[in-house]
Amino acid sequence: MPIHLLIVDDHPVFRCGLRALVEKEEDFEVAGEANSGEEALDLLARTCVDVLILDISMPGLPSPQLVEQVLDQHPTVKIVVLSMHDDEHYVREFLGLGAKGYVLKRSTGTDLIQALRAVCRGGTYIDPELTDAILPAYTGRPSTKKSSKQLELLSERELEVCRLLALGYSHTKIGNRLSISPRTVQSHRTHIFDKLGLEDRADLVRFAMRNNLLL
Amino acid sequence: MTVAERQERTAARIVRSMLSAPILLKILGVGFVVAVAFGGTTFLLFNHVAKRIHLQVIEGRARSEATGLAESLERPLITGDLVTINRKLKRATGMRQDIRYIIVRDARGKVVAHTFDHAVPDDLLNLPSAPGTAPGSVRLLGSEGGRVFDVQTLILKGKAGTVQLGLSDRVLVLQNRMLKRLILGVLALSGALGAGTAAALAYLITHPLDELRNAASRIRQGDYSARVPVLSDDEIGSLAGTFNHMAKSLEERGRQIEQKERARLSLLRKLVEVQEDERKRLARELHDQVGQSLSRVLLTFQCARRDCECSDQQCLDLEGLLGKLIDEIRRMAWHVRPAVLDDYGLGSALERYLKETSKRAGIPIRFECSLPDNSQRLPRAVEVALYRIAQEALTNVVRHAQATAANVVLLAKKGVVTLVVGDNGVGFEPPEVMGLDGVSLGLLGMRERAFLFGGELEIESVHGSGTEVLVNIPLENENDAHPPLDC
Ligand SMILES: Nc1ncnc2c1ncn2[C@@H]1O[C@H](COP(=O)(O)OP(=O)(O)O)[C@@H](O)[C@H]1O
Ligand SMILES: [Mg+2]
Repeated sequence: MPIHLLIVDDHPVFRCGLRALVEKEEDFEVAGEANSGEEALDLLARTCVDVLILDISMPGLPSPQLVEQVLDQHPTVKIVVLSMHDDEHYVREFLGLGAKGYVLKRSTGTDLIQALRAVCRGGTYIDPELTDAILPAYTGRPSTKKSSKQLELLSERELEVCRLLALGYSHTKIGNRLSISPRTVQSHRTHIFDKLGLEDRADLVRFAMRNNLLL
Repeated sequence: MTVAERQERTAARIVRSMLSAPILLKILGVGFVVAVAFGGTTFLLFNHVAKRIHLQVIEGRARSEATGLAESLERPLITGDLVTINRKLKRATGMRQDIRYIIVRDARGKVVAHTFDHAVPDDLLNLPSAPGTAPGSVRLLGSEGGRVFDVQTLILKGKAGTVQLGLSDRVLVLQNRMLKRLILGVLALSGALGAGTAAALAYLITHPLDELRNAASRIRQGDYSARVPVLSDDEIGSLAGTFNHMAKSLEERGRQIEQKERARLSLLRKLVEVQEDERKRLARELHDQVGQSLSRVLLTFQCARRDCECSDQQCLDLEGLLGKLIDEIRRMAWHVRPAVLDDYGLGSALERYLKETSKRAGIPIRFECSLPDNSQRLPRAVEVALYRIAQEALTNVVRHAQATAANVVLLAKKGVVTLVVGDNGVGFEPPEVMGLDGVSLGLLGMRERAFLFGGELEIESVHGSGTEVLVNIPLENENDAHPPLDC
């Protein structure tokens, strides 16, 4: 039993190429081509489709909505996204919405077939170029120890300076606000960083948010 | 330091403190000095003249009393009528209270009669008749009862004897004292009047000056509507008039500057808007048109290659090249304007940008982002502005700072979105004025972008320990004042 494909892309020539590519495989059969999201929904209602190949930069109905609607109405349809965007956010969003595959257009020829087979088997396929990006980007950064005890290290004044620094105030502004010189603020900052073992303002903001200083 | 120098210095200090006294005090001081000098001189002069007149008057009286008495005593003395003599003496002293005593002597100098209760005091008897003093000259004697003027007159040229008479000036002294008091009183009164006048004068001068000063300080604080009343036609009045003229032209100029600033901001906003529109269009075209077409070419090529089962190296190379080309186009589009910024917001776009920059520059860039989640995006135009600011700031870090680490904070709290870009590099002295002669245009651009949204940008940099660029943009209120840019 062949696998029925629906190609959704607003570039006819690209659809053509794609059809040529997949029809080389014996077990694939193109059940239809759609020029837009609306057309795709229309076709889906009339034809039997196993896998939907979707270009996500089409005018008209926004692609995320299309994915949601398709899966809502046809939960068995598997969606493989074909996209120019190599940003992890797109991958995350569409996989999160229920798409089973994400393939970059630039690797169509080699990877699309693999992706189609993988999703038919019930798996998920992400373009190898993107797997690095999608894996948690946390590069083993030692988290600042969360402990409210650290807060007790700070004097009243330092706590206030800490809070204002985390809110993105400049030394000058903090100085004006607390009626001290920017230089004094600078030295408070040095003390705070030393006491808490922080390195930069980003650290400080993280610390402040963990300890609910920014409310 | 010599004494002279020290004195000079003290004098200079006194002059300085005198000059720094308020005008009221100065005028009063001058008035006081003049009053004291004038009044004092008057008083001294009066005293001097009064003393001389006093002497003349008292001497004249003493002489005429003595002469009168001498004439009336001629006959009794010749006849030796002691009773008459005594009666006359008594009458004389009874009528004139200020005649202290009378001594009558005969031609040989023997005391014939006198007005003392007992004996004639010795010192009066032995009064040496100063040589050369003509009879009739007046001598001043002191006694318990005050000053006494003593005069001796010959009776019948001395053939009958002499009369010696002592006249006290007490009445005159009392009169004199009263006169002096009167003069002092008049002087004090006129002094007080003078002081009052001086105070009034000082007020007349200083009041308009105070008004001028208040108006000037209002102008300094930017309130160009400050004016002063022109109360008189004198120098101060003309100063006030000139001041008002100045304030008016300042106000005029302030308005012009404000208008120019508004026009500049509109233009800037328009430019930014057009630029971002253009970039968006360009990125889209690159991405969706050029990129897609190249993808299509690649796809077709791959199909064709598979059809003819060609694995020629040249074909493989071409395929690789096409892939690289697509990557390049994608990268270009992303640089011109990342689609993520529009589709997923500032946090996502920055995250990607920082990752890329960190890789390119070879330094770690920490990113702390605390924005409302995606459903509540910031105003799009603010996102774009902050993205561009962060881009410029990080470009500067990479290009100028020689930093070994950078960090970026993005957070929205209390209706303000804040972006901080920090580095640990060499630091620099932010220029006071940016953009003059095309210098620091990058910094100026950042500041203006923030300014367009009612925000502000600060740069804090310490030589040797790094730089922080801080941007604050208010979220709610300002949006009405600045129509959202459609970019
Ligand atoms: N993060 C930084 N660290 C050190 N110097 C900086 C930094 N940012 C800016 N500067 C200095 O400020 C100058 C002006 O910056 P900018 O206005 O962006 O102009 P440009 O980058 O074109 O030189 C730079 O030439 C550099 O000397
Ligand atoms: Mg620059």
